[in-house]
Amino acid sequence: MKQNNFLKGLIKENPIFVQVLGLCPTLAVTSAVVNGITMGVATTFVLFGSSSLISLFRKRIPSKMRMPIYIVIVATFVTIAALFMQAYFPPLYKALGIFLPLIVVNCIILGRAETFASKNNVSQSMLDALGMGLGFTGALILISVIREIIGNGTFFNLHITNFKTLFFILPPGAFLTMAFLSALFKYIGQKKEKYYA
Amino acid sequence: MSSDAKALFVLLFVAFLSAFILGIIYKLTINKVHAQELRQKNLALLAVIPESGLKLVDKGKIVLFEKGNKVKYYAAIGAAPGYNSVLQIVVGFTLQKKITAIHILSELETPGLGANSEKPVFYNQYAGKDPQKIYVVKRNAKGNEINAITGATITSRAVTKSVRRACKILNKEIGNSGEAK
Amino acid sequence: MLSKLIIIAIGAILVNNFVLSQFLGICPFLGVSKKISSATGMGFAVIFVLTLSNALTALLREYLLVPYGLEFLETVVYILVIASLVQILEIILKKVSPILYQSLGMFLPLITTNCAILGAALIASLKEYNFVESTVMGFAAGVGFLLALLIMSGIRERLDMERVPKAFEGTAIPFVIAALLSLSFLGFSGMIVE
Repeated sequence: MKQNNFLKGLIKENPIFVQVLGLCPTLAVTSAVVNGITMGVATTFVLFGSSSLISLFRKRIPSKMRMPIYIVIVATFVTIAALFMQAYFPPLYKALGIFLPLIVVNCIILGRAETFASKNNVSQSMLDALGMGLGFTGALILISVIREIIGNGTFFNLHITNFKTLFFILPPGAFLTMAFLSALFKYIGQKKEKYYA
Repeated sequence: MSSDAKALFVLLFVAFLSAFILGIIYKLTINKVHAQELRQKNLALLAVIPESGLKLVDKGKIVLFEKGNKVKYYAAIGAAPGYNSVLQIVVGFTLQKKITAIHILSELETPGLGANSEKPVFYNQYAGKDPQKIYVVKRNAKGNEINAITGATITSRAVTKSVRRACKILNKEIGNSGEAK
Repeated sequence: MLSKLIIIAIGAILVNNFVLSQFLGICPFLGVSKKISSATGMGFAVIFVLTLSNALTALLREYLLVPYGLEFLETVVYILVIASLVQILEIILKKVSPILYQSLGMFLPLITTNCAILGAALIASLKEYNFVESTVMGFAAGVGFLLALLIMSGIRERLDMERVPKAFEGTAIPFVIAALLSLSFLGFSGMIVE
């Protein structure tokens, strides 16, 4: 049971490919692997912090005001992450741009708060948050590896190949990469079902 | 009504607590941020001037570079909105108001496109040109023209605009007589 | 002044379309674009909220956050404003026009977490727009959102009658459509001239 709450976020209930949440930052920051990882880590931090806090106080948060209160908590963690990054990692802070504060409206965070953290104890909520965060980060890395290598010929800003198609760095490329990866995920899922049926 | 009011109270309490915590963290981090910005600015200032060992005199809007007591170069910062962000460019000037070099202080343009403005291939074009006559063209730039970054015309124009604005600031501060106010 | 406003508007609608170029508002874009009727409802609701939210946040920025050096509270303040705005709108809509509430009301809670709303406020702040510029931008962003949503839902309704490869059913095929739409909108990028 404990393992389940952590592992489910990685593949079975992967926030991006299965639940289709948190897409805005996904498409925007995956043009470079380093940006994808940064966003993943920042989101996991916010997710972990807010889920833990919300779970801790779940019995004290009035149900009527729960959404605005969740939002303030999430926004606070996001701002903490932003201030910290601005001071200690300025280039990464600049690379994420407005998508760093936009973590607040990342449906994954509010979604987990509402569906899980508000109804489960702190340690389970922490595991759930970590799992989802890691699943999110993993997906971001996957997408950005494809986009950066094919689109810019680099990996972590290191030159790898001379072959590059600007298309994959631009918005249409982001959508197309998502399309093929989603189809791949679905295909694998279907094959698995057939196999186990 | 009472439970609604209580709920509102909790919200306000959380909001104030949040503002309080953030205020503290802000105070703790802001010094580091300012120090970083200052360091970047100084690095940029040194980068745009061809001579080293000159004395920097900060006059607020512009910076003077002196050897002995004579001014040898100027620098100013120009800003203009780009594609995604407001660009800040440090521009070095000779006494004749020609560009020595430019250095991009901050930009948040598209990686692979506008962000390539930080590549020497692009920004070195500005060196030696007349800031009041620079103009962006698509290719084959001659004279005071600047080759735009492929696929990033807006960013290229924004850099050019920032450089022109830096020149305007310089002119305003020292007038046409060449004397610092 | 007017020309700058027009440029801001064309920018937000076509050149830098919020959905297809700036990746803002993707969740509702994929979720509510299955039918033209729901797309229209969501689109108009978003235009309404975006315009008001950008106007309000611009005022707060100009008269509260900047003068008192509280910019670091931007995120918290803006999202609270947006959440409250949506809440109030829902209440007003219910009382004033139950009919309108029937068609638009269900979209309102979804709008709070629409990255486009907070995104627009933050972009206006980044570009240092004043009250009028922010409001125009908010309105135009909403129009751009509606435009993208309309095109997408029109195509998806047609697609319902076609055969789609099994693996692409569901989530993948809207992304393919979005890729094509985004590609065509790229053609607008040459429009803005200084």
